[in-house]
Amino acid sequence: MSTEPGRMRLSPEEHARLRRRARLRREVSGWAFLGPMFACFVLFLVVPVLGTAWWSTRFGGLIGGTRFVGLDNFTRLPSLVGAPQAIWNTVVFAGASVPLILAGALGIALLLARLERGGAIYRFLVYFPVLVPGVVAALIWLFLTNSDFGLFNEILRAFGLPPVTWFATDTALGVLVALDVWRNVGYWAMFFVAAIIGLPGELYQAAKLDGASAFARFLYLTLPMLRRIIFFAVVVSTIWAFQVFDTAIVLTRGGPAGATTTVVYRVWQYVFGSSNKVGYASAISLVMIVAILALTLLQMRLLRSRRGAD
Amino acid sequence: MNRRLNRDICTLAEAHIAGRLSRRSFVTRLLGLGLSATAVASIAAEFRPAHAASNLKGNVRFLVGPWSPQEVDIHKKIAEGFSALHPDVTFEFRLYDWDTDDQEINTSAAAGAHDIYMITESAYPDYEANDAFVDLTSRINDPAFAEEKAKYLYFDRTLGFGPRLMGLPISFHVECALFVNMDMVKAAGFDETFADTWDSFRNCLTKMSKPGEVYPIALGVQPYGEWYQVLRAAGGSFLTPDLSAANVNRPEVIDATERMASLFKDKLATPLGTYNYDDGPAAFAGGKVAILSIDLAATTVVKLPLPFNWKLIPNPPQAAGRMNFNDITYYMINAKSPNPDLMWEVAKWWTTGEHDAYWADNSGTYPARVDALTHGYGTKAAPQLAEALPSYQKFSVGLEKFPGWASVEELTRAEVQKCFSGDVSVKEALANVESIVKQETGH
Repeated sequence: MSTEPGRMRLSPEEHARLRRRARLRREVSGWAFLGPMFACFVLFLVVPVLGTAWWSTRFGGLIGGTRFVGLDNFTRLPSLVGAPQAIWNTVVFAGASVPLILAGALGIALLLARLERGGAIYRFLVYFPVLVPGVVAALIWLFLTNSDFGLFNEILRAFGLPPVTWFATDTALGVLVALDVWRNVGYWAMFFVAAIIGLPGELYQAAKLDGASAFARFLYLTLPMLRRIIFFAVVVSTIWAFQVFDTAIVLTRGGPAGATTTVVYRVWQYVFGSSNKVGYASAISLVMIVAILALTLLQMRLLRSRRGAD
Repeated sequence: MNRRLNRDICTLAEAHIAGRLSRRSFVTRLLGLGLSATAVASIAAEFRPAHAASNLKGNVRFLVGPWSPQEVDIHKKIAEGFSALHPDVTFEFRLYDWDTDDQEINTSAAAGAHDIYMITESAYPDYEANDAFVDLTSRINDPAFAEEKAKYLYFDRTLGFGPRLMGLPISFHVECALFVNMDMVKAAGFDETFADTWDSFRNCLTKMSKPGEVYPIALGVQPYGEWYQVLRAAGGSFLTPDLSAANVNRPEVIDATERMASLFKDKLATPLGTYNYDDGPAAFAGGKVAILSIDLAATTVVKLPLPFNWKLIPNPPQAAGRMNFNDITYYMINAKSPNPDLMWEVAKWWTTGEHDAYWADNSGTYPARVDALTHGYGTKAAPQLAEALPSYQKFSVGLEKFPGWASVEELTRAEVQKCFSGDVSVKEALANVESIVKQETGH
């Protein structure tokens, strides 16, 4: 380093060294900030996925030894008794709950966005079921649906109607869907409210002046402008729906007659219920990861291509 | 250590007494082994009064099933006596859920999270086949334990699963009994013989039916073992006795299952899903259901005495070919427990005649000790249990002796229920059950 009075001058080598050091410091501090998250990502996501891949090639259980069986666990999956029913239940559940949740959330959000007074109270009430843990929500619904003293049957009796067995083979999955909608509609409604409030008001004023009806404004203004958030909601809520488990185990234990046995419930049965079927469970899990990934990519492709066409 | 020394000394002593070893050789070998000093201590330990054996210390973590709402309190009561003798031993009790017991036990055992486990017979073959729990064979067969061993029931049955003894039995439990409201049976014009034939049983159900008010029978409330004993009563089983092939899809089993399914079809049984284990006993106690199929621990769920005459009978009801599925429950010691000697002492304490009687009396089950009756069993339990015991023992049948039985039983329940709900025919359901058996056992 050479100096002159009142001025400091760096040689090119020192300049380069200091630049390198500054870059290194930036890199290190960046990784230091990222580190905890990255460590959690590796520890709780990458390692379990790799572990699942390893287990999927083994025969054995959590206790006792295991042996390598190659791809046997995958090739046997299609012949598992009950597998088609578990897949069907999961698809029906997702197919019913995702549209209901998103349509309900959008409807509630449109109403909430119009409120000028008391909006906070209504938003809290709508969001409240989200705060209830899945197991507690399931217990609440057990009381609501009890055959003898449940609220739903009491209402039916009050109208002179016969009581319903809510957890019968043909109704149990519907109850699970209803519970899922009840729990999640408020969550997505909050997303949609925030998005709707942020929409440019002048567009709506212009549309009104042009004589557009409320439905036309919703169809040609609100929906297109909410497309990004709707796209996000569709993808995430579909992934969640495919993972339904906690309410199924508390409400119905997968029954009756397997009517609410979902894919994840089946995975759980094999991991912990059997002494040597962790390989099956891991193989199912990997297939499910791939299926969800493929479905997500498909959704992204469809929704993005439509956005591009706008 | 004391136990090993004691065994060595006993071996030498027996050889000396039998004349195979002279006194001089006996003493020489004893000294040669360096046992002379410790021998006295070892032998003395055997005669030391229990209250003085306070060298035990450590924390004992129990993982047990909830047989009654007071389960933990019952264990705390048993622990009080042990703690009085061994103040340095502390206890922790955690309950598992019956629907997830295998899952919780497996993960806990793998992680070494608990020391002593309450394990039912359905899981026993799996644990006999691996090393998750301590092999107690040498301890149970130790001559010093012989007198106590003779007081335990069911060791012979346990040995049917393999040569190793992995636990100390605590109960004989009937998994699927029929709780019968005898007032309703009599009101329908039948007496205590109503269940001796299928036709009589069915006629009684038909006459007890009051649509919208009373269901004659609730099935599937606690489905564990419910259809399995129908299978066994009809001469079938998951595997043939030599465990070489599936043994489900037989004409007699199809007939028996058809009969069971007809109760649902003809609306004599509550639709599947109407009641679960928590509200089924309440429905029976409240007179909503005349006959309830459930395990005997349900006697701890309802508030006794019930406001009507009731009794327990085996299920399936007809006298011919009647079978009663039951299982034994054990205490086992985690192989990862840091102090197996302490756990063995604790397990023995928990299964003495006195403590087994106390626990079983409060749990709606039968003790597994011959001396339980003299220690107060029957003072709290519903008298119907004692009355029904002879028939349950007479028609007793346990699970089949192959690993994975429990997972086969669990998977088959859903398939059988599908024919009860009319989703598939009985033949299709049983074909699926047979496929599950083959898929899970490889036969």
